[in-house]
Amino acid sequence: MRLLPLLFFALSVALAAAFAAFTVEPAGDQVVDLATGVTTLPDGGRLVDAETGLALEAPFIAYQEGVFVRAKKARMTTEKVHFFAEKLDYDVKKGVARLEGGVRLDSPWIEGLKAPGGRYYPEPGVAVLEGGVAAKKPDFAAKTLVADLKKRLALLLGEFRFADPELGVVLKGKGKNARLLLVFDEKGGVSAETEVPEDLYKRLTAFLKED
Amino acid sequence: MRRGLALAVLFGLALAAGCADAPYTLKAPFGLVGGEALSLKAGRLVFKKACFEGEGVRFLAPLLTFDKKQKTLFAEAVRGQALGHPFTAERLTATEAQTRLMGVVLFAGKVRIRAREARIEGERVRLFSLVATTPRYRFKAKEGELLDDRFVALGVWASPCRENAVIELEGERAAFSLQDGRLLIEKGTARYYGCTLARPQRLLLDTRRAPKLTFPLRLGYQNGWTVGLVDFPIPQPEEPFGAWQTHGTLLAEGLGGPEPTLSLGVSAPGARFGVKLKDGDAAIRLAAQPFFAERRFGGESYLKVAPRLKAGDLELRPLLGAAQRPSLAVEGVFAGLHARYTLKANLGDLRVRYAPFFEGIISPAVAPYATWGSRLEASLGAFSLAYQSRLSLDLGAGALAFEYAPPGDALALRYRAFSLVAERHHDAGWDRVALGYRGERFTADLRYGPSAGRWELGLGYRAPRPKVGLALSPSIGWDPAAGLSRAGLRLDYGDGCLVYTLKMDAVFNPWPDEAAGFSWQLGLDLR
Repeated sequence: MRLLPLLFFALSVALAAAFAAFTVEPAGDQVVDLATGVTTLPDGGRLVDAETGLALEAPFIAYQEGVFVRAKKARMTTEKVHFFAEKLDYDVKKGVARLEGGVRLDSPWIEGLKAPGGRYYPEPGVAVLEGGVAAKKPDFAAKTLVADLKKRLALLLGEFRFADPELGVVLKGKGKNARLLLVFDEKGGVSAETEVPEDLYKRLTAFLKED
Repeated sequence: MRRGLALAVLFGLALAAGCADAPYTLKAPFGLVGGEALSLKAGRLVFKKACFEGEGVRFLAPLLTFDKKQKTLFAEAVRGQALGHPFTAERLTATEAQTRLMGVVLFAGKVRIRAREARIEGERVRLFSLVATTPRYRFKAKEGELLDDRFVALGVWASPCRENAVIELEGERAAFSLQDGRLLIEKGTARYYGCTLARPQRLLLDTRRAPKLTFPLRLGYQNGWTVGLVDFPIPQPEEPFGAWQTHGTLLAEGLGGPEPTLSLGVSAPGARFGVKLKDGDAAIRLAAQPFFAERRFGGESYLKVAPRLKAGDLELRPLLGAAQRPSLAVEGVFAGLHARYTLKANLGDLRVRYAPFFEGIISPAVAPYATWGSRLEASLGAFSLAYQSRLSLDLGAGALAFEYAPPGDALALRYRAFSLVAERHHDAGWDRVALGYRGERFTADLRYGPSAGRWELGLGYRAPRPKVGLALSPSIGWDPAAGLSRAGLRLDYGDGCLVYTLKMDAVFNPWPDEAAGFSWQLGLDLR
């Protein structure tokens, strides 16, 4: 579970910095359009950050250094975190990666987290998952999730459900104003709170606006 | 208690919204928890402005905590309902098996139960070290169990006294009905100043009504000594303590005088029976609605059936009877009708009630005769008037032998503490006019009898009934022609629970409707 923030953190590092200096392992052809500077791996391949070991693996990858990285069925892997997006479009200038067509995340902290789509902001390391999110472990579901990966926080927004099998209880939040802040500690524990400090709430919900 | 009930009602309304509608809810095996905010930290789940709905219990609390390790719910300053009964509690702990309340106040009907501890287990509510306050009794028990409509307690103590438990009722077990407020104490002991008065197997109390305690002993002197018991209670099975409806009388009058009389009587709701013995003769009276039978001294006898029929404001009583009246040399059967109509009108602040009545008798033994009259009552603010008149008409020259009420008039005018009363009794040939003042403490009357040519001035002081201690209320009557005409003294002694009264009256110069003599009367009343 605790790898969730680590994963996003790693992802941010990878996208913001690492992909500026990565090794390319194409699975087939590597097509470089000299006019646009866009490199396409039509048979897919792997982009590996030599420093962190973060790897982006996809059956199709296109990138332009300093401008974008696009991938289909992108699978990102770091030590313990597996991340999958049907479609990844990283706008290097805006510093946001749009994730579409289904996102899935597995880590020792959160397993089986799924959402139809979302966005990832490498700096400051915030992920927004929208359209109905659900995780297997811990067992929760919410309309929207905003996660500050550096601070190991996840804010559930809108109607939510959070089950604690140890307690044998199911917590529910009602209506569009419902919220639940999940804080993961280093030992893998999670604490939950509906009274979110006002400044934190403002800072995290600001990422709900796309630009 | 009213405030408590109001709170309970308000709380009931607050609960009616339902815990499922709370912004944040928790579904646990033992119930549903809700709140306006929640936090889960280190295995402790805290709800703020919380509510709970479980089997047989629901409540609100400012803060509710669920402990992961103990699998226990904790709350303080709780307001709720247990099996439909509103309660408040200082603290609450709940597990799947049991809900425990500490410092509980529970409202069951009109009864307020305060307990050190309450345990709710499914459909049972068990209470420990409890004190209950009912409208008329204080009640304590070591342990009790609240069921749907009754409350069963063990090791019970009850007292009708608000202070100084002069009267104590104890029992091994008691069952309290929340429906009718009746408390049945089993294997009881009744104590007065610590002395055991009785050990009834079953003692029933009506906790909604004050027990009516009377002191039936009579002592007086009027043409001889009067001594005996009047209206002493004869408790019946299933009749609450102090709510006895059957009474007996055993009274000797005129002892040492020319006409000693012994009276025996029993009265029950709707029925009375009495026998008087005097000088080898007997007078018997039996009344059991609608029958009435009487034999007077000297052999006059009378039998009547008079059922009461009501149709709206009209009341009819057909009469059928037989009588033997040697004094009037009349005997035979008779029939008649008594009719009364009551008219009520409210004209702004003016309230008027007018009731005319008629009674007609026919008999083969005497000529027909009739009595009629009316009663008028009116009030306007602090002013009130009552006037009653009764006239009779005898169609033949015979005696008004059977049903007969003597004609007369009575007028009463009242304004606050002041009154003017005039009475005229045609047959008895006397009349009286009285001007009175009846204040909170002092009373004064000026009475005048035109036919007797007599005046009397009465003065009295009424002491407030003492909580503890003695109070004296003297009164006198003074006749300008004869001097002191009457004197009275009432002594009230209060012990914090009961007020004991000794009333002594002496009449030196009687009016036509009273006799000279003196009487003592003892009374007993709960404060």
